[in-house]
Amino acid sequence: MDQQTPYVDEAPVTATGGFASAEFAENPEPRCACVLLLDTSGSMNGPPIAQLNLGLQSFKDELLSDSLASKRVEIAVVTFGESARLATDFTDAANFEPPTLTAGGLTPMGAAVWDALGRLAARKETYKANGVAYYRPWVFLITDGEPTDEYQSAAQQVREGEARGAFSFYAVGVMDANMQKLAEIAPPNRPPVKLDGLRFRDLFVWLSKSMRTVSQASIGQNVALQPPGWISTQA
Amino acid sequence: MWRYVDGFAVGTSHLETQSPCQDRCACSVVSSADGGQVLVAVVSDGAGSAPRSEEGAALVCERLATAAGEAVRASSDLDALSDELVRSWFLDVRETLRARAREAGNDVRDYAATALLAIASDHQALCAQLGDGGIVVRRAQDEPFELAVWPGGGEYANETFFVTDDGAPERIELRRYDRVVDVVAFSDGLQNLALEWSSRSAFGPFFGPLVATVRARADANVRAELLAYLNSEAINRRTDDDKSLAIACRIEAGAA
Repeated sequence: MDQQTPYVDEAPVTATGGFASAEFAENPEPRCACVLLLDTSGSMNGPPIAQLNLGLQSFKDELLSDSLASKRVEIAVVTFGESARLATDFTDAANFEPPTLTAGGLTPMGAAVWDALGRLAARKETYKANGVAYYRPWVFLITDGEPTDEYQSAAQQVREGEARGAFSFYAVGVMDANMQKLAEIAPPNRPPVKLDGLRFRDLFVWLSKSMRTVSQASIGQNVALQPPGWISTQA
Repeated sequence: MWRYVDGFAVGTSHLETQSPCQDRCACSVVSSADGGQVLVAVVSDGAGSAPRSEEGAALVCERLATAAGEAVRASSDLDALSDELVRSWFLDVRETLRARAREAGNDVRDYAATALLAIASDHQALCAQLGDGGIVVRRAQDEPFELAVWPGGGEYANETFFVTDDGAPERIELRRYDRVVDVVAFSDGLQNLALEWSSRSAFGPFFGPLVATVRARADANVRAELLAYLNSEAINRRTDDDKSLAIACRIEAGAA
């Protein structure tokens, strides 16, 4: 180099000099939307729904332990039982109050998927209109059964959306879930997995860790997630 | 003459995952054969998901600084640097990384890194950018800071372009200016602090104190202070990513 500012091997300096007067732009935090699509049909009654509710609480607690994730991750909860229903509209993790879900009714999974994807698309429009940067959203479906309504068109939506990168779709089967039907809904590149027993808590701790990773400032396109420890390896 | 200071610091999320700082930067002032003094500043941010991006970022800085330095040593007239020539430097970096990946049996994407280059002579300036982060210039001390290239890559906040991409040649953005008095280049770790999303522009109150500090200070401590600043709680509260800054100011002869 022809001309270099004369640097010395400096002793540790903690003073930040005039640099500390720099002010920061006030931008909204970039958001990472996560839609939970939860089965609340009658068969979930008893321990399953109780464990699911505890899992949701863990999800909130884990997200809150990370100050950036608590501002960046936005959660919506859509349930399907008596009907496809919005239990919680998009809210940042810091303000997320986990709903206490009750079980009953059939499994209108197709309608719930349609509902979730529609809300997600609308949420993106809201981000754009407000100059909010955002990460690829996640849709996380959990069921212990199989759809009792028309689900083929919803499955088509999932596959198309996943293929064009509109979201990442995850499907988890619990207990006697029809894994074959779930595989028809889940994208081919990410087949459904089976929950080991009722380890909802482990599942949600993993999900929160994954959301924290995804919502890091800049991680490139291929996010390396921790291997889920809650998957049943039994066929 | 130009006075500059540069530095990079690891992000708190990298500390948590025990991954290294993948940002690099390089600043120099080249004395041209025609007597001109030309600033060359390079910033590169290695992709968090790429295992050898630290090496990629270091190589981007070294190669771009060398190529630009050699070119302006011959002449400080930046018109002599055609768009094609500047682009060829970026593509040469990609070729070097491809060769390195081949030799080591790795994928070239393992070395993915952004590339930001700023060159400023006494009369002109040139900014070339591939990927996110930004370069800000000011034409005079009473003028506003201007952002060369808005860093939006794809739809998502964590999507950007890298020098290793197949589509890299089309994605290199070039901007040319007449005389500038300040140049600041930064990696995307500082993007949210330095840029205003609603107006897609440089946030002046961020850059003002940075250049004022460098302009006012001729002592060697200023670099240590910059590093302390990059590692400060105030910065880490707002970003968990690696961050780098290269700050350069023109000092008028006779001043300071």
